[in-house]
Amino acid sequence: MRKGPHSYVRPAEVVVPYGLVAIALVAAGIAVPGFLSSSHLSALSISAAYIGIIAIGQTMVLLLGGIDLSVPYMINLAAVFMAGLQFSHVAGGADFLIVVGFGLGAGLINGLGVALLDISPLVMTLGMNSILEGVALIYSNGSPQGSAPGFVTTLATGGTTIPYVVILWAALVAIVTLALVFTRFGRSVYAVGSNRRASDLSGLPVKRTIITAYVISGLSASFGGILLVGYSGQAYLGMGDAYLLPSIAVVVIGGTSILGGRGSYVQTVAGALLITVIESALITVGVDQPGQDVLYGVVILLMAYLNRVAISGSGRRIATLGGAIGPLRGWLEPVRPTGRRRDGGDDGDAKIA
Amino acid sequence: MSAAPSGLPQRRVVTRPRLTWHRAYTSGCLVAALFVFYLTRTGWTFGGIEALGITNDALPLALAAVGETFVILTNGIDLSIGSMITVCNVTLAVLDTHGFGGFAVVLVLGIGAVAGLLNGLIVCYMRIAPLIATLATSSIYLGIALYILPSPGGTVPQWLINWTTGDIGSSNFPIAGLWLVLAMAAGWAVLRRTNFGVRLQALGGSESSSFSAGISVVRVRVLAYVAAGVCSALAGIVLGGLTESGDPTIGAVYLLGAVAAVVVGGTSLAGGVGTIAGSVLGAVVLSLVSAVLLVSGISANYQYIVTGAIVIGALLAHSLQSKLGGVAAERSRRFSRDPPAEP
Repeated sequence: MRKGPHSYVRPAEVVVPYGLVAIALVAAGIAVPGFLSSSHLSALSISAAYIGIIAIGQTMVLLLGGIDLSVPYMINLAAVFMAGLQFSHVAGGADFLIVVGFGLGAGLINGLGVALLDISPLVMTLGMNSILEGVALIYSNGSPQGSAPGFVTTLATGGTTIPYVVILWAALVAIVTLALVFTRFGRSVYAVGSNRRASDLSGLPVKRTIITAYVISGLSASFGGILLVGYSGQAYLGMGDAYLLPSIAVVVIGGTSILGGRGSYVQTVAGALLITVIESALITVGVDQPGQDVLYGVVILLMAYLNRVAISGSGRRIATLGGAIGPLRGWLEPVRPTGRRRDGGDDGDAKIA
Repeated sequence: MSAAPSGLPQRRVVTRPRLTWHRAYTSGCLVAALFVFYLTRTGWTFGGIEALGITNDALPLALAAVGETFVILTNGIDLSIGSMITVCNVTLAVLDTHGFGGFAVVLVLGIGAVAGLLNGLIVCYMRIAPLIATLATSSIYLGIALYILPSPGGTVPQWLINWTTGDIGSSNFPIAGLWLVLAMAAGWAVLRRTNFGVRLQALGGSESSSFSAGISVVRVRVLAYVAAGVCSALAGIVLGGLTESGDPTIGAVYLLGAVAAVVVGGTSLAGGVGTIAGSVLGAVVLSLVSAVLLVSGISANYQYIVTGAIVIGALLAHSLQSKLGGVAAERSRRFSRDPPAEP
């Protein structure tokens, strides 16, 4: 045994996504003149920061083997509330706390439903998304009013050489990473994600860990909504819909397993950077929206496959690909680094729904 | 993929009624309760117009939910159903505009099957978790749909419109209602009276046991995704008949609506336990909710809150039902521990 916290992340799993980011940047820099200019990089980092911050909660929830599908309307509702409270002249600061508090509450309900009532995370967060959509509609009566308060706009788009939101994101990356590696909560996330029953039997606070993760997800999505309303100046209904797929995609592209227990937020950051660079490059070379959609899907499939087979898996796994036993085993249990943290399989637990 | 040992005779699986039907009771009761509530709001009148509205609303969702049921029974999930519906819907509209007529419908069914096949192959051979795989292909299919038809338009065959909207003959019974009943019957037949259906449920109950029992796990799973694709194509075609045109945004609501209907219908997300009839009834429940809100004069904005609450509540009710000694729970426990006995 090594001293210090045992890492749940293999170096290759972190190096490869960042290597791909570097390759994508260089390739885009060669193909598109001015892609690597400081102004464009600054714009890129702002986009990456939004999706990166939104994906904090999704990373934790996916590490637990859950999923949060309520992200779209967590974002949308936060944006609608933020602009609406500005319209009703609620003091700056108080509105922020109200919005974030609401996200916390909705995340808490998600967590309570999943942890205590044993509702499948998919259904719980799906239902919550629908409920939040209703709340957003009722609050705004179909047409959200108001605009982003000044401090929100400054936070989301301001900054001198380095945008404020990127500095904030960097701080959050450090905090989340340290929390996942060194705190009791962070270690529990990995343990519960790997094997909930074993964690329970070992006396870990399984339910508290799950609830906390969903609360963090509600918080980060709400905060993302605040940033987005700061970016666009106004709130509109449906503005969060475009973030459901990306919030999961950046986590998966970074190499975090949606079956839980393997991955890290550092990888999600790489995923956010990679998807932002690719998206921006596609737009600048003139690929239209349908083409972007198609390539988006292809990138997710390729990265999910690459992460599973080439980085985390071993050569043996590739050899069994297509063999009779291969699809069966691979589907049932996530591919894991061999014999490093677990010995037994978790037949039957390895499903997210 | 002949995963089965070749020495075993491939005999027909003896089908026995598995006592999972009762899980559909909850949605059946919900339908009845909502319908009675609906009648109290309308003053006990229920005419052809109301029936038409509810069944037309429910039919595409029911078809999507039937497709989703096949996949969820394998312990997977298909989030590309909305996009497959969109692709099929716009392809139908474009093909008919170019004069393909009835052949367009056949072609569109084929497209749905191919899209589903692709999902199944990705899940089985690239071994990407179904959630991610279908979320990714959903993006791909939507992009393709936007290429085919960037903005709403196009035409659909007149006979398709005649066969999806309106009433049967001069009666007050909507054609869509007939299709709903047929979907339930066909779903029941496939699930309970074919080898594929029985293997599908076995696979969802326990994959390793199914494998040991000689079931070609890969083939059954791929077929489940193909079935979802074909059902999505049907939903896209029906939507074409109902709206009389193609629309590249039409499938978006069915992405999660189908899952909601399946959950309300009592199919377990853990796989292996569920009914097609339940999913069809689940779709009717969701349509009835909006109809009830409409006649009650409640703002349509509340519909989302009520729907969300019903989905979560239905799942709670089903898990409670299972915990209180439900037959399905008992059977699924047995299935997951011991390999099924040789029939």
